[in-house]
Amino acid sequence: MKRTILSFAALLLVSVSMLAQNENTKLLVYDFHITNRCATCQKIEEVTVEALNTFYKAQLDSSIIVFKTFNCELEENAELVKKYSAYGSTLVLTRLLPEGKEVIVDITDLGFSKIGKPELFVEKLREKIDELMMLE
Amino acid sequence: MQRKIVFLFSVIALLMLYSCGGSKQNESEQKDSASIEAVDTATADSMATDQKTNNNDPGTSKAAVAETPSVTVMLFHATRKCASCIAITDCVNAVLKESFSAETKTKKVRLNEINADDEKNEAICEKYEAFGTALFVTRTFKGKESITDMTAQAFKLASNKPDEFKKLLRDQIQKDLK
Repeated sequence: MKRTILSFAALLLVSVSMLAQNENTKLLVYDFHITNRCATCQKIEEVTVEALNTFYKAQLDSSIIVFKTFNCELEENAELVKKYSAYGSTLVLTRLLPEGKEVIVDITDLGFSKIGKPELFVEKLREKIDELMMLE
Repeated sequence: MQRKIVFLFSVIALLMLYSCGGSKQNESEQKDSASIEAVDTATADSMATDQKTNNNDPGTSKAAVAETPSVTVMLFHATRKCASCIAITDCVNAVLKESFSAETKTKKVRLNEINADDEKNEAICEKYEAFGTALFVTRTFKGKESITDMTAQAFKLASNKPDEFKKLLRDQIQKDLK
């Protein structure tokens, strides 16, 4: 029982750290999906979260990188869906720069075409993230 | 008499030498022809393998040397297709049927559906780095290929904005046919 509570608390902490966006946030990793999610779409999210927790744990914990998922078919997400043209499964990186500037990199193609080789997908994902984090 | 015997031995020795050399030559000739055969077989095998390997590859098809551009829509999918993947396939088929019916008949526009889970498609999957679901429009002209990755647009639009996706795909094919 104690272990279950601890696991739940840890999960909650991870979720909170992933959801919190603040003035320190430099990169948004947004994962859009439709209501009826397919195995590939779920796998992309799973591998992305795992990669972020493995390689960017400190940045996640300090909200420098924020990961969020959205159901693109829900009305509440309509504005974001329009912004990213994410009317279906979409994986997108947004680098937040000073003065409200943004650099958006759509990596949906990487997700779907490389997920059969997760290590290749993670390699490409890291390349993109590192590239964006270098921007001033 | 002794001279005759020496002469006879010399003739026999010469004959033996010749016959040995001849058989060696024959042997080497046989070996050569065998090696040529082996090379031929190997070439035929490699050609067969190439044909087999590149069966799905627009770059190695007859269209590659055609004088006008041709377009191949490369649709990679997993064995079990998901709803988005099915929606993409439906959109692709609709575009080809509605807008490129004549070009499809003349094979100027072709659809290549490739199961990325099938081992026999390994080479083409490696070429396109397509290890899941992916959509590419490949233009082939005078043996040169240009590949446009439309995977992102496909997944973002095909399920909920099919008309927008169809328009993007149609525009890309039309552009590539010019």
